[in-house]
Amino acid sequence: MSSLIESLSLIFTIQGLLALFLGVTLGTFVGAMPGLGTVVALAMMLPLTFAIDSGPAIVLLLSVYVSSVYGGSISAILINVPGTPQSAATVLDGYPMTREGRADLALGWTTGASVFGGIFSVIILVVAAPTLAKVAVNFGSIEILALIIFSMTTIAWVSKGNTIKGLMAACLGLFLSTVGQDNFTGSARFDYGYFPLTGGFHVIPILVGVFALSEVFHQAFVGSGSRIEFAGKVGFTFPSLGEWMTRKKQLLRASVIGSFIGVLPGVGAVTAAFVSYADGKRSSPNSEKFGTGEPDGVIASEASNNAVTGGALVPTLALGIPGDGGTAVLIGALIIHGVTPGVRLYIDEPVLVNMIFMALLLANVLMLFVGAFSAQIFTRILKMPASILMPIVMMLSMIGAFTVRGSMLDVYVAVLAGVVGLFMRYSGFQLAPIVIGYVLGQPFEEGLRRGLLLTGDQPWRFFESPIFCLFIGLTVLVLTSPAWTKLLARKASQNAQ
Amino acid sequence: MDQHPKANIHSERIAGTVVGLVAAVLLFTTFNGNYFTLDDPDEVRTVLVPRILLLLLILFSLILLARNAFGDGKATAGEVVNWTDGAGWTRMAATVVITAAVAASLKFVGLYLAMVAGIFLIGAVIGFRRWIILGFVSFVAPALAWYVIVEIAELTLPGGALLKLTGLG
Repeated sequence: MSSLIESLSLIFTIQGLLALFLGVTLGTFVGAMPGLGTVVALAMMLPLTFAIDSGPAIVLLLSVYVSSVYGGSISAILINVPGTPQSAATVLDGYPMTREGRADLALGWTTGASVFGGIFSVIILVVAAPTLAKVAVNFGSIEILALIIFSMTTIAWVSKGNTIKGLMAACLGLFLSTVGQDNFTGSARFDYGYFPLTGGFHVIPILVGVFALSEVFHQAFVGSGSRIEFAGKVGFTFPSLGEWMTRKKQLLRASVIGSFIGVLPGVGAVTAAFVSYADGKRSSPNSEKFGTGEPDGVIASEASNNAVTGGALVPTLALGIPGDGGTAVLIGALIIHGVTPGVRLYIDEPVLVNMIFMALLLANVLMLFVGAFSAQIFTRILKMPASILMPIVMMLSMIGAFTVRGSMLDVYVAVLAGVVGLFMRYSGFQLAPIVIGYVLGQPFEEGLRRGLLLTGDQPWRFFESPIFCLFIGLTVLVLTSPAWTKLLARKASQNAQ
Repeated sequence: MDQHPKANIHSERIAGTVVGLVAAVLLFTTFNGNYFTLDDPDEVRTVLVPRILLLLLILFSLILLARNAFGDGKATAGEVVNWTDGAGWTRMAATVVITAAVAASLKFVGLYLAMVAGIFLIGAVIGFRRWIILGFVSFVAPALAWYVIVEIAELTLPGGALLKLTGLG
């Protein structure tokens, strides 16, 4: 109880409340800007957090994380372009509502569903993360190594239709983390006599390059100097409690789906939104109206994608394994602020953990008010063409890359990562596995090398650990899943005949 | 979903070849004298994980290239863009060059001047034609960023020539 009061006292300061408000407002704003998304929002806010205490800094980043997912739905509803990929399914029913002149109601449904999904997932996080951390206390280097291998494989496996490219991106991220000084021996790796490289790469320049600058270059290719026009009147109408009660089943189902998918490493909010949308289409009493402006469609997508935020934080906080690109950046940002997510976090920093839970809850509640009062403002902001927004994104990206370590190398790395990221996007590679791989690179190497030291350079002895066997078994199962699902389907069709 | 399969197949080939070759070169460099000592096994271990990862990258590149050459010809779609849009490529190349020039000049001319030029030029290249607004944003946005980062957050940004000239740097 005392730690709860202590954690509340960290938030309810002028700095803490300002961080909360600023985080939700800016997160919603950046999330609403097509092409930017959660990762870019976090990377851009990071320099601002250097000037404040670590408590409010973490509150700010968490608020940005949850509200940017919600922000994506605003542009999905108003201009038929999802601000973040997570809101792609919201377009299907949100925009038809706008065309019918019901944009105000669509914004009300999406805000309510996002807030409910977010709060539901925080409750799941509060219950599940400490339990998972208790189990994970028994994990040694070998077990953590197996867990990382399993997580990376899952992330690569769910890479849109191409496991090989997902694995390549993950390996690239893991490799980038090995550049610079070796933590075990102190020897410099891959520096080729260039002194700044001995410090290695930092995650922030890589991610602002891969995500933000590649988007600037992409928008330059597309070229858009035109203003965006809105269909219908824009405002905010929150549906009545009675209307919510008629749709409570959809709301709950979507929140459960989102929270569950969020816990799985790498699957993410995009999948959650579409799985939930498909489930809603199957189970809703208004299923035949899906795709024509049905609120159940908006609820299914938005409650689930916001529920992913809390779900993805379960492995992030309990194990230090990021669930998606956003949580990978969050881990990097937390480490910069002296907080290392993982099993020890619950034992060493109970006040901080409670503060994280409270901040997430408050950020979700605040989203309701920001959504309600800023609909008109967002309508104006979204009219800003990409040709004026993208140069500003370029500037913020470079500032973000530079301020992390005050090194020009980081700026050059960001530009190079931008070009590489663009090429990877055009070649069908997923970008998130690079960042997740980079974040997991150090624990991966430590796990493998410590494991080798413990077993006297006999890697086959790793299999003496049942947890190692379990995760490697699951990895093999995931990698061979296309083969055995085909086999099962063939057997089922043979039985049917 | 894939509107331009040929272009995607081509980009997959380039990606596979570039990643494979770079990984092979980097792998080769791990066998130079820097990491090799007979009496200290830890020195060899320092490149153990990078070697494993580089070998995996080479392996995956080969699989990608083999699938591309002998598979069913269906490359996984990347971003759907109009690959034949010459003007688009020109705009993108110009934006990359301007961004690289801004990055290279930061140290010498400072963040403010580099960004004024960068924002104006990239805005113009992407297609913004309301010059007064673009000029206004080019001057105000970096000034605002400078104020927030340097004055409020008390962090350092590259000052460059402008600050030296004004005697503030």
